[in-house]
Amino acid sequence: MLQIDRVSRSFAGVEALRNVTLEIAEGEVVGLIGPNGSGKTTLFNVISGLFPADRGVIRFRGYNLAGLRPDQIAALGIARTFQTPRVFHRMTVWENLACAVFAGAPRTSTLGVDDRRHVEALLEKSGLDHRAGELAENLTLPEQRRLELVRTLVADPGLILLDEPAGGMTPAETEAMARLIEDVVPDGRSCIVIEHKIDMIASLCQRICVLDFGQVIADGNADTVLKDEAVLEAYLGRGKRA
Amino acid sequence: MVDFIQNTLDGIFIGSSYALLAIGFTLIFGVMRRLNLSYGPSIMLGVFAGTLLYIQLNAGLLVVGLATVVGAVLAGLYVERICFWAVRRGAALASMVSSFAIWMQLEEAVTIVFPDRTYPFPPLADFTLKLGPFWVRGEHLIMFICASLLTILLHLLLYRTRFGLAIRAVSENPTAAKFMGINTGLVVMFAFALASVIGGVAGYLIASTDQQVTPLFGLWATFKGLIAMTLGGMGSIPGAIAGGLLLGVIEAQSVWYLGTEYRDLVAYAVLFAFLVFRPGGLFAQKSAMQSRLAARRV
Amino acid sequence: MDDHLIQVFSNVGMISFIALSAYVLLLTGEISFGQQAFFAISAYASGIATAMWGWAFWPGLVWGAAVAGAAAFLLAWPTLRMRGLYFAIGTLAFAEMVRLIFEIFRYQVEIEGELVGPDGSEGFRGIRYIFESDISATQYMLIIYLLLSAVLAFLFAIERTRLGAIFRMLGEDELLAEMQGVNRTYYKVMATVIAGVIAGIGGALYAHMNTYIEPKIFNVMLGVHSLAYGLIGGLGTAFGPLIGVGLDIGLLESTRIFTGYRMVVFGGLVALLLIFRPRGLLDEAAVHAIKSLWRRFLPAAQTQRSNNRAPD
Repeated sequence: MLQIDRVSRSFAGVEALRNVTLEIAEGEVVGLIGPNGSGKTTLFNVISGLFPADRGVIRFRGYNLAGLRPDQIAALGIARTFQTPRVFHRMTVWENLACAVFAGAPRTSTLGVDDRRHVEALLEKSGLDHRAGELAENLTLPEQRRLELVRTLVADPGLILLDEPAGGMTPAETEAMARLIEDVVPDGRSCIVIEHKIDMIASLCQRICVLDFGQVIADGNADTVLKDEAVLEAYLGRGKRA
Repeated sequence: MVDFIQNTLDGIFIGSSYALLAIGFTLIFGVMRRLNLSYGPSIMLGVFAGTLLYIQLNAGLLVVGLATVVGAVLAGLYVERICFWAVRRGAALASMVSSFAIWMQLEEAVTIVFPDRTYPFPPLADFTLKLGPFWVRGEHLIMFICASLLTILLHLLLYRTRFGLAIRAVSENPTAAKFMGINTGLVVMFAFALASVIGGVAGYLIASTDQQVTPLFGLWATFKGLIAMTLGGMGSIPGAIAGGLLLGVIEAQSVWYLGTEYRDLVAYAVLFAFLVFRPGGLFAQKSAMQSRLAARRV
Repeated sequence: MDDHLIQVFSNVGMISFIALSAYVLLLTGEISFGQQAFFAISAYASGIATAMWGWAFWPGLVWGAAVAGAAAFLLAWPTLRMRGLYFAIGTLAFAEMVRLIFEIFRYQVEIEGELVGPDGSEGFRGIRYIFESDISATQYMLIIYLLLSAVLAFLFAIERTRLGAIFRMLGEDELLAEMQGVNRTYYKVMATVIAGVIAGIGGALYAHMNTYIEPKIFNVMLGVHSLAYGLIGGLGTAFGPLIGVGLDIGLLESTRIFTGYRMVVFGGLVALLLIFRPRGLLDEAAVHAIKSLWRRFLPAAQTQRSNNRAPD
């Protein structure tokens, strides 16, 4: 459903992405790992239309994403979260989700019964239902990340991009987050997860893709990739030379 | 051609005072990333302090000048404490509106003490030089020389002293500056005082050229400084100088070729065109970081 | 009601339009120093229609507001790329250009042996439709408040529906809104036009109440005041700007308590207020708190429902 074909992008001479080629199938959950600065978030930004690729083509369900604005890409069914959670601080949790409904549905002027049920169901799944009336600025970091995650689901996207969903969380919170992702994602949605916590990636994803210096250095079955020499060297700083 | 060059000369001389106002604005903007609408009015307060001494005690030029600068600095620090230091971080809009409220306050305070429309201000010089086919008014020449000297002094202060380094550090990256052990609060206060000194000198030069002052001076100075700063590029000192001179020249040329009623119209049209086609101002590349910050939500 | 009081209420009403206009843009996160331009454009356009072309008041008002809206539409495009302070200064430059153009704008016709029409900086005299139609000051005040209520009703309707949610999203985090599917260009232009029309209604009312307008009324001070009203009253609800206008014009200017040093007091109070409430008296958190309190007094069944209310 998502084909990334030889995509490159550089900033002021630094190549953040070099000929990245990646294909995600319908319903697949892929882990994207790599050292800091290896281009993981840049890849998300290019997919979601924040800035264009210098070279290469990205197709989603057959549509070429080149030249589309972020809102058009969102309308095609790609939703994302951010490395530092981005929520509307001056709105309540409920309003944050209601806004996501409105943003994705141009012909809805007020929330219908179905929309409400949908949002309520999501709130319940995320465990934020008791916080529905709270201003988002008062949420803790894990709560904000959970809100971001369920917000991506509001518009019923085909592809979800999660940028460090467990960043800055304790092991227990990470565990809860992993379970929440498992709970909401497997109904046929594709998902790319950036995460540094290898255990979480290993438990969530059948397939792992490794970026280093903007290039894909490994891509495949989780167990194989995590034993790959090049990956160990690039990512964990050990391997042959260590 | 002679006319054109004469206008350009006049424009550059007047523009040197705009440049000073723009430098003051840019210094404050640089360390605070906020707009101080009360910058002009605090200078106005200083100018009226000068005029008070002149009227009441018939004070000499130096005393009047000193009173102007001291008055501007005191008013500037008052604005800094109330509108910038006290207002929560991240509330730039509140700071701006608050500085507007204090502007109204200062303006009315001055009109209570000085109820007439205009008051006299001592002239600096009364001679005219002839250079070939061109005329130069003495006070314009003095204005230009003072502005140049002040700019050189400011440059030395910013690039040759520890405090200058601190100001530049805070302008570049306040968070990093804080972690490096710089007392950012003190630096901001010092930058305000510095901006007020520059503004005070500019106010003194302008008032003595006009030989009169009005409470509307605050409005005038705020908007001239703001326009000149934007033309040059927000947060850039070379930009402020270039923007001030450019504004002076644009005004002088449009008065000559189109008439007085077109002076401000042309200036605003150029400003608008800059904002559309070259939002970073004349010095867009050099102040790219500052421009990005200016474009941030306030 | 005595004449003075009617005058005060009428002024409060008319300035409220321009304050609400600035408020609509504040909702979308933009600071405009230039809403007085649309106030002025409509004042001139509607005045020309009634005094020179012989139109009736209501068509003149609609025409004025429409011209203001069209001007806003044209301004929206070049200012789309301006953000933050650049937008503020861009709108300032635009509004000052409009004012300075009116300073040199002359368009006069002879009506009953008298020259009528805008005469540059001399202003525009003889917008006498209301005066000649025997509409009393009280009736005119009611017209002002009728229109103001209509605008308020419109703004409250917006806040309860999708459009308001989109505006607030753009106001808080443009990028996040876009990433969720909001077409930024479309809604920014729409907000600018709505703001222009609202200011335009006020401008037409102003011209016909005073029968005389001159360019210098529409200077940048009017614009900055209108912006300040929204922030004083609070950005959480459309009542905020009204509170700001009411406090300044209604209470201080008119009661003459602080005659002569009104701004010394008011300016200081505003500065103090902004230290403690940087988004105004009725900011989003205050509105939220009031709503929660309100819900507590509702029957339990309803509480359950309204806990899950849409953004309103």
